[in-house]
Amino acid sequence: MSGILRTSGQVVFLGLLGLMLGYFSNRPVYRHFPPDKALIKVSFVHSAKRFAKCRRLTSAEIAKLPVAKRRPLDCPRGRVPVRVKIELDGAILYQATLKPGGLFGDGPAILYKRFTVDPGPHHLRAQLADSPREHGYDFDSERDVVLRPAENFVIDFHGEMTGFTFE
Amino acid sequence: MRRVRQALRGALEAVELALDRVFTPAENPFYQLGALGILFLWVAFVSGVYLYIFFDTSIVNAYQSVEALTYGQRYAGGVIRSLHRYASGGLVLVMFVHLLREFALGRLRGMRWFSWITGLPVMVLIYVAGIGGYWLVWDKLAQYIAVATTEWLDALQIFGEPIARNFLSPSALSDRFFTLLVFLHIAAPVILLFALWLHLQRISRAKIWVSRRLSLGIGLMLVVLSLIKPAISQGGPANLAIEATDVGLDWFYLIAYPLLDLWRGSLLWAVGTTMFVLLAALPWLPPLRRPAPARVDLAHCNGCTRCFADCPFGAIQMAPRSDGSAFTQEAVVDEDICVSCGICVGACPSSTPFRRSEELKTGIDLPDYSLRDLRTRTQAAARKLSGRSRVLIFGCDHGLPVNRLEGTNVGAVSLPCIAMLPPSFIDYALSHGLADGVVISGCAEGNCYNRFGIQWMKARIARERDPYLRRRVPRDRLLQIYLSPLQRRQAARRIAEFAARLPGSREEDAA
Repeated sequence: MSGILRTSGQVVFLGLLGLMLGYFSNRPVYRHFPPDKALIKVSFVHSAKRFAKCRRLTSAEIAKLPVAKRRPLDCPRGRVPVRVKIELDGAILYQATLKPGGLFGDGPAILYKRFTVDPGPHHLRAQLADSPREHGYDFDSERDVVLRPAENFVIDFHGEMTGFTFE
Repeated sequence: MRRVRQALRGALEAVELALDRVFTPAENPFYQLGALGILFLWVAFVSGVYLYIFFDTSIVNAYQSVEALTYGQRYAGGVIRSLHRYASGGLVLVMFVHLLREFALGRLRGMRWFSWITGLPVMVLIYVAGIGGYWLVWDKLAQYIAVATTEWLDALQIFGEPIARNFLSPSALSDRFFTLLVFLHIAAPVILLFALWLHLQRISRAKIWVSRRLSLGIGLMLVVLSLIKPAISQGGPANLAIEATDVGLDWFYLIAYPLLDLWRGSLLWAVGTTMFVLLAALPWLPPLRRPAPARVDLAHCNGCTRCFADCPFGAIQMAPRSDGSAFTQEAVVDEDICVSCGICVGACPSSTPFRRSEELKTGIDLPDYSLRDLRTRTQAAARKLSGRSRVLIFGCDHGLPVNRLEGTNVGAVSLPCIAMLPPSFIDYALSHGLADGVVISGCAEGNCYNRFGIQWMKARIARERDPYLRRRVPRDRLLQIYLSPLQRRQAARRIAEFAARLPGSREEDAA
């Protein structure tokens, strides 16, 4: 192969390599989320109440314990599950009972969910129970929102201080 | 698996053959993929240092600092940002071709398992560094990557709190988490350097620099690409209140990301882990055929160091003499590293077929294919030859299949590597009248399966490297061909032409 042909071949090869690097560095475009939809994320990390309240030990019970383990209170570690319900325009969007985390069930319950919805005006209601009660909820919040296309609307929960937040 | 490998090898050889013509074997990019990867890595490193000088590591100012780099100093920071991007893409491309090629050539079994296995964390680190880099731009693409990656990591359920919550809403963002990502983007390449060092540990004289001409070509290509299509941010600064919709993915790094929208994160982890484990297990999957490593026979070893100098894998070390002989050193084979290529046998001055001893022995030999076997096969191949221009081909198991070139006047002997053949065998074949001509057929030029087989063989024949081919051997009765298995016709033609030129051939008689 002559020198000119060889050099031309090298230019073509490097050109094709450059073309491949240039094109696939951001093409073809990928549609991750439909632009005519909105997103609702429901997420929280919340430690529910314990199964039972701490109980003061009697002197006799304390005396029975090994010296190094003597303490005035007996506090059960386990926490109750967190019940959560999210309604969108009166229909249930999400409902679950979340187990507490940790090997001994004493950690926080964790939720991270994404819901694709139509944009526009909506009525949202978020309810959560973190106590041993079997019926009803300890927290109940409602909000009227107007979701824009591709909006990422977040429902979070921050415990007794602020309850549910909508942003 | 074997068929897949053969098909892949055939396809790669076709490309290599075309590139041989365009670049010459010495410059063929496919024969220096590892070095090419290192070249791309260096470009990414050097450009990365420049970018870091101007990069603001706070989440509020990161995007603006990258924009200032891109547009404020278009022909410096802008080009360097693009070089950083495209060199990183090139690194991934070269890495995968390198992986496929080593797989196709079967360069993962035996002692080569080490380079194969240590290459896997290199791949992971390249991905960690690359994906982390996109994150730092903090544009719309970075937002998509940040959310998708953290949601995927959360599927492992190893974090006390979902790390995706760091990107839940604009108010959830913290500078501290972003600084951690900057640190990761710097730490991963540094660990990568160590992983690469480990990757090359069992390869002696590893080629880590691309030939100058090709380096210049690649450099020029990257600069031209950076000027024609500068790397720019996508969709403005990240805004967690708005979900990323259409994103221009870098498919070299983010090819698996669309799967996160189709599959559960845990499923992608399962698939990824399975693929990784399968890749890691490949060197040990059946059929396992590991030939016995080379063995030193001290009675015939004078500690000349030629085998030590020629071993392409550093499997031979010289040690103080242990048998009380007058020689000071002896060769010692590291059996874990030896690939049984036989190059050491070809390098040993004791390896000569002229010996008349009852059992032909040499200083270092392959138990599964001894020097004695080689002489026996040479004699057997020669006995079958007839006609007036008899040609004996010594070929390589990994190159042109020489047995397919056999005919009435052409015989073939194949070896694990062409450099296993001691030059004295050429002399032996011609001086004993076993053949009228000898053909040396190795792997394709620049593509030796055992790295230095072609180089050493040529140097021995040219009397540039011990053991030399004796001067008395008529060079016109010797032909060297280093062709791809796809060039069988060309090989047959050249051998026929060679046979016709041999003294005593019919054509010559007619002339």
